[in-house]
Amino acid sequence: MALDISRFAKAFFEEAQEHVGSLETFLISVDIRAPDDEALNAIFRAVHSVKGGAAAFGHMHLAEFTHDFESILDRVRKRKLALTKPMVDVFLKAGDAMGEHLDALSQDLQPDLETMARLRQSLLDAAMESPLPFAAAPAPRPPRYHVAMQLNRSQFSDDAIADLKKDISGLGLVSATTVTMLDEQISTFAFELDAEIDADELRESLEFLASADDIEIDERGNDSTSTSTTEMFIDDDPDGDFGFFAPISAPSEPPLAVFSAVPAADADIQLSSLVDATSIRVNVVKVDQLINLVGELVIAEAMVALAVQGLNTDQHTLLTNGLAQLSRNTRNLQDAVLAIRMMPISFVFSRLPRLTRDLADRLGKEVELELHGEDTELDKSVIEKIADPLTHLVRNALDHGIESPEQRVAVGKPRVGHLTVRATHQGGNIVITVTDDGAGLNREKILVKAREVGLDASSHWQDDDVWRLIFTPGFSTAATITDVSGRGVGMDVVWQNVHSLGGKIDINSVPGVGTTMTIRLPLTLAILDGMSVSVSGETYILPLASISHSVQPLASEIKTVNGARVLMVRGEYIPITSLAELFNLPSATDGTGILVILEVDDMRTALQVDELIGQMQVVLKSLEANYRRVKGVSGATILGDGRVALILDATYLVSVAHSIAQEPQVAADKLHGR
Amino acid sequence: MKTILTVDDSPSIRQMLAYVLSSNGYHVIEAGDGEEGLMLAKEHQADLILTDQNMPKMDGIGLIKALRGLPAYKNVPIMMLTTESSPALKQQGRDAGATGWMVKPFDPEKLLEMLKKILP
Repeated sequence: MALDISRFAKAFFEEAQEHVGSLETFLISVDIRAPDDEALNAIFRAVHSVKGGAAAFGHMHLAEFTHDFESILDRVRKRKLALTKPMVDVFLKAGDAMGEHLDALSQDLQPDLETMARLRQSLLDAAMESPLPFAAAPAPRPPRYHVAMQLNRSQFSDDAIADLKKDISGLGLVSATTVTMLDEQISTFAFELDAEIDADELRESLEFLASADDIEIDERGNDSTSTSTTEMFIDDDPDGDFGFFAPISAPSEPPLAVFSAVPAADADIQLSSLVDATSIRVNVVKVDQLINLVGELVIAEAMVALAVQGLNTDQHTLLTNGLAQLSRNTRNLQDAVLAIRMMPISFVFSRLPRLTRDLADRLGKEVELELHGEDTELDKSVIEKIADPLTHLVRNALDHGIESPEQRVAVGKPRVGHLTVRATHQGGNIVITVTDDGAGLNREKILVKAREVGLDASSHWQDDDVWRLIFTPGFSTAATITDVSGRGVGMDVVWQNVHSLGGKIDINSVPGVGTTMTIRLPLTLAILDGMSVSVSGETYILPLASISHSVQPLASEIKTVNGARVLMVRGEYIPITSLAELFNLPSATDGTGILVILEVDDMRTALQVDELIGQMQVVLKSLEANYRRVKGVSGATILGDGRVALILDATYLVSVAHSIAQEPQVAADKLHGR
Repeated sequence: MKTILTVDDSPSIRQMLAYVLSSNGYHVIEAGDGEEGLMLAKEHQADLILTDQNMPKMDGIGLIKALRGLPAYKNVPIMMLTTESSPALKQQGRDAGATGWMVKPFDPEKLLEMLKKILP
């Protein structure tokens, strides 16, 4: 039977990428001057695990690279090599290279071996250049002791063992701790200890923990692992792949006894270590399929509800009760299924520490990053789309917001700038803020630049209106372009991305104090709170979030300005857009019908419809995926009666209305894509 | 059917081992670190143990020592699966009571060949 292990390769890639990710996290959070053992071990183990897998799956370049990397990390964790910042920089780059190498391998591409070779050399160089505080004068190895202590029942609970481990860790380097239960009353606690104390001192210290008779100390000499005492090992395999320490003659004896009952004290340990396995990996396609099916179920449920609406409830108690229950369960099911796709925002936040670190270095700034609400959950698709805009905001804050240390000191601010990124839930929205304590936006500069690029900007404008100018396409030009911020994605793209997610973005800035950018997003893109309206017998859905209110206007409230109709509300003129005209539908009502006031980014339009049908939660279906992209339409849904209704794009409707009000022909061209 | 306990903190290595072993008629139990390995070894009598060295919580050497302290595992073969095959590590393994070592990466065929030598 052929053994094909390639199907485990995918699991390896995912696993290895996770290790690369945690390598970066640990490297960034490690305290370079005083790293603790746990952090250094974690860093070592991340690389070691990748090496193991790489070797097992035959990725030899990666295995060799990680082998060298690991050897250096091993020396670091054994304190033979002091950690330095340049060293951590190289480690981070090495981690990146591992990630890229894995990416290439997983896509069957040729990995960039040149970069790998270069980094391998940098790793070795970094290790060479590092001061060797511990190895400078090779200190005699501390003696190694093997200690076994008998513990009585009261001493071998989980907590007591943990305390014991803590106590002995003060004596020296503890390894190979084991607890062996002899019987219900007594167990042996054994460990190896490298400590700079003699055996008598050690015994004295241990006598606080167990009675003298129960302690066995065995001194193993100065270096039990030194090769001088090592015997030669004979391979039992021609290629040297495996070997046995003693000749394997006859098959080993059958086991003497089978452990029948597990002592009670052990039972708890078993339970606690089993709880870890609580998550599973599932292909996202399967989850999407599930969401789709539930969406269909919701629609089917609505259809049934509609069909029985006319029935007399008294005569069909069972049916109506059953239906009410079905409806409730369907909603719960929908919520539960949507929750599967929810991911913590830490997936995006996790890249920020590295970004901040690298960027601050490059810009010669000192910045401290604070992250809050990393556990805040939102839909996977929203997470994917918010990553770039958020990164851009952080980049902007570092580049334009926070001043250089010298400038900060000059104006009496702390030398180190502060950047806070926070995520919170507010109702059905998630709110992400990026706050810096930098110089704040410069009103005058923005106005000057706006006029330069031909925008009509008045110096009487409110701050909010001035700040919004930075979202104008082409605004971030000339002077502000650095190799950090000016690469392709401007603030206009940030604005577009946020809007395409149905979100909005606000700016709050105080000169000299700092800037806060606030992004508000819906939690999910799969369902939408909508208002269904009818126009000429057709049903459309408007996103509830964009509706300010609805009015049934008096004739006197409607005026004509420059040939366009406007609604006068408390001295303000709001352009009226007729949905029937916009979509070339025969107007069913001759009157003005109902005006729905849409509000997007403080711009408003009154949308003329025939009738409001009602508020409903709709399951979004992509029109683009099933048909093609249509301007003014953000998606579609299926109504209770099985008909398809289009979901209108409020942002687009408002912007069209405003261009009609200003230049009707341009607006018409814009609408018809000319 | 012979039972083999595999102890490794890498799920992909465990999956691969499980696949190779179970498709050759062995019953496989998997543990993610030494502590879990010890716990499972007590619950199920294994006929052979394959353990990684570098793992969180309890490492391979620690596991071997703990197992050798149990009457049920005095004579059960325990193989170390290691990426490094340094004499020092082999010495440690031998001191701890390991039966032998096998270097990762290994060819599935080689693993089976090794098993045939050690398990009847």
